Amino acid sequence: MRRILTRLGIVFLAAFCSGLFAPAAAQSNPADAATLFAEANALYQEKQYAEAQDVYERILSAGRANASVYYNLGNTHFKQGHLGQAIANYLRAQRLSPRDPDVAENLRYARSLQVDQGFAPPARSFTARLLFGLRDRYTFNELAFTATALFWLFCLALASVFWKRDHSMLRSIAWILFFLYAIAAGITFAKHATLNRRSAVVISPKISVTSGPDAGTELFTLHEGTTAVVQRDHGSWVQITLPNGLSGWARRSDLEFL
Amino acid sequence: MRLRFKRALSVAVVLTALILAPPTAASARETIAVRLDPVVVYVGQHSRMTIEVLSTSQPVPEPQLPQIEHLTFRLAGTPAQGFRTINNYTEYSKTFSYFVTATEPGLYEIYPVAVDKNGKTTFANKATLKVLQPGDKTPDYFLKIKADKTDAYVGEPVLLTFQQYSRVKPTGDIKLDLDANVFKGFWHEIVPNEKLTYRQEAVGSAQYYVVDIQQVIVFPLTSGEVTIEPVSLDSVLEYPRQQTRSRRPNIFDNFGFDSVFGSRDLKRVQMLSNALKLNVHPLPSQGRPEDFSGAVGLYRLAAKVDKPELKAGEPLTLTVTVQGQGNLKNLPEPTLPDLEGFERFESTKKENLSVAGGSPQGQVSYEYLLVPRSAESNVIGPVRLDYFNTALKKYLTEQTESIALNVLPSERGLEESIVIGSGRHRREIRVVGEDLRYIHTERPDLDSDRGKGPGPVLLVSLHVLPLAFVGVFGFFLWRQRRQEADPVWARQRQAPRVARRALRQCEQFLNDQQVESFYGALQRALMQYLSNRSGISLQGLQVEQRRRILAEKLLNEHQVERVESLLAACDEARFSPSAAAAEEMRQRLDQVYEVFRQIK
Repeated sequence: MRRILTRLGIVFLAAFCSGLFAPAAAQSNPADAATLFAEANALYQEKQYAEAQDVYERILSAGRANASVYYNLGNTHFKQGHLGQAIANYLRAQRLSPRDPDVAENLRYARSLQVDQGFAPPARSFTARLLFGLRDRYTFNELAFTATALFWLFCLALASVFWKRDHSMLRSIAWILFFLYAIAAGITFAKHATLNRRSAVVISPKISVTSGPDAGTELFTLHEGTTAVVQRDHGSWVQITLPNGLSGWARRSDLEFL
Repeated sequence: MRLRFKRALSVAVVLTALILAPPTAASARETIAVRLDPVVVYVGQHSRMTIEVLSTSQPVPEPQLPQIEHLTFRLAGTPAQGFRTINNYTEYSKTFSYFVTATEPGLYEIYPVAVDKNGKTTFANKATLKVLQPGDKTPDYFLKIKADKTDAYVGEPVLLTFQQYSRVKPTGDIKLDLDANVFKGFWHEIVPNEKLTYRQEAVGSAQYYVVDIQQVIVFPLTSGEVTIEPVSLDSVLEYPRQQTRSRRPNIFDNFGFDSVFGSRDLKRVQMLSNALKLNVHPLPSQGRPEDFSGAVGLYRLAAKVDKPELKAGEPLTLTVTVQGQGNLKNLPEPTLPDLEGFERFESTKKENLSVAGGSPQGQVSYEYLLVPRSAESNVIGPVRLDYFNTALKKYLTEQTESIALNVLPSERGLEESIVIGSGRHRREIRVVGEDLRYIHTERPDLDSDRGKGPGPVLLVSLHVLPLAFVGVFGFFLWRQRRQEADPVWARQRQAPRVARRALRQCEQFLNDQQVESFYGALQRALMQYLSNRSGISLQGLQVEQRRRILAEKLLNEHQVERVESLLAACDEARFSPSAAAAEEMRQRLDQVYEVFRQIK
């Protein structure tokens, strides 16, 4: 019995240690990543954009995803004339840091240069714009934290209502907190859905979107930088949908997936 | 009689020998046949001569053609080979095709055509070709290429019409072989065919059915004398059937039903057209504009923008339309003005072309995406197209008006040039410095991975925890309030706990052998438990009442008797402790435990 317990202890310790140190082994040292970041910035300053892009991509491949790295990588792509890849990386940076003014401005500028400008989503009501604005302005962590905090406050208020049974003000506060919590939770879920939605950016100068994979009829053409939502895959083709509802099939190689 | 028998015998022997003789011996030879189609041609027109050579062994020899004055033979393609085997007898064939052309009219006998093999010469049949002077007596059918003009400039469209002439009615079964080599030296465009119809036309003294089979527009690519090579045509014609017996005229003949009733023969014929020579003139060097890039025809030019008022940095579409006649498909792009103040992106081309009156025409639109860099970029200069006008036979320049724009100012300035795209999509744009913000140079927080949010387990836990807290809190609050409101309920709920405590004390007294205290505590524990469970105070639990309550609420009659006897035993033992032994004390304690279990 004692021997079995000893063995179980060793196995548990090994599993614990592997779990503790495995991520560190897979990822590079943060200090190395910082060195690479500085090196890439220096290359960018020397206008060696292709080399800078290579170093930024090495940081990302080492598992150090960061808004600044994506933003700088977007700039190197832009400087090399890769409008589609630039927009893709600005979008990735914006996911991690949605209120970064530099990211927002460069993304706006890059998008102003893309050929396709007429695929805007349909106009939204004030409430929808407010809710979507909150969704886009905050990260998932921030929204999840806010929703959780509101839930805790609501539970506290509920306990207070139990304690002071006939306290109408406490009851009102509890209802208000629950309402706010419901909104925050809804926005958090919407953010989660947005983050999990597969999007792609056109990286070829001009592509034909067809009615089906392989030999479909050409429906419309898209140009570099246009962003679309990916619906499903079929071999080397994917079905994409534009914000205005237009849908069709495009070659996977013409797109960069976010 | 004997003579008759001998004759019959000799006939039988000959017949048997003929039948049994080996086939190879009988056909060990070469055969050669010559065929001409058509047999009547004009001077300069081709007739196709087919020579079929059959041989019993390989190789099949090639025919030797005669030298005939005014006649030329030109091999048409590679000879076709084949073989067939019947009853172990194999025969090899080789078919040679030639174009035969005469330079003088007359009747030509094409003879001798022969093959030599193993020292043996085999001659073909005679073939006769009748060659007419144009304007002379006409042939039964022929194919003609007609051009709307034989003198043209390089790039000028020439309409070719392939016409079938026949003395008999044509059918719709016509197959024209337009090989790509026919139009060598031209860029050509085949005019879509409409339904074939025929008309009648007199050639000399003969009346012909004429079918315009196909129209092709050719654009000469080089100057000089350029030849459209002869093309061949397979066609089915309706010939009147030769009458073998005299037939009385049928009333239906006058209504064209003669063919329905089988008085016509359909005959498949092959025709070879004439070669057509075009004199292609080079475009004149005099007056040629510097920017001329080869546009030939008759053109008009127009330009427009989709929005004349916009902000600097916003895109606009400049549409340049070329309308007219000529090789619009290969038309070079018009020359755009200096667009220094604009970002210019790739152009898209749209065509709307047709052929009308034998001339290619329509319009081609070029769309350019332009982005004005500043408010000063408010004019798009004239767009130009230099072309050679075929009607006036001189160079002209089509030019649009300048387009004024109302570009609202922007705060952007100019930075550096970059190139967007690659290959034919490569384009240069000016990056606006303030718009493309500089990279982040401060060291980012590369230690944390902010991309990952809290997992679903953590989120659910963070929601379940306060809910559990509220639930537990509410439960305790409810119980406290119930206890305060209902003391009987509270005593009933406390009864087991109080009883357990009292019995622990009894155990202690049992261990210490304090008999009196043990029985006193045991009696109190039992009474207290009954009081708590029944909700009646200890003072109220007199014997009669106790029995009634126990019987009503808790126990059956037998059990009530046991409880009463237990209480009586405790009483007795308290007042005569010496009589009580340890075993009996343990027995009484167990009985009380049993009563508690029964009441529970």
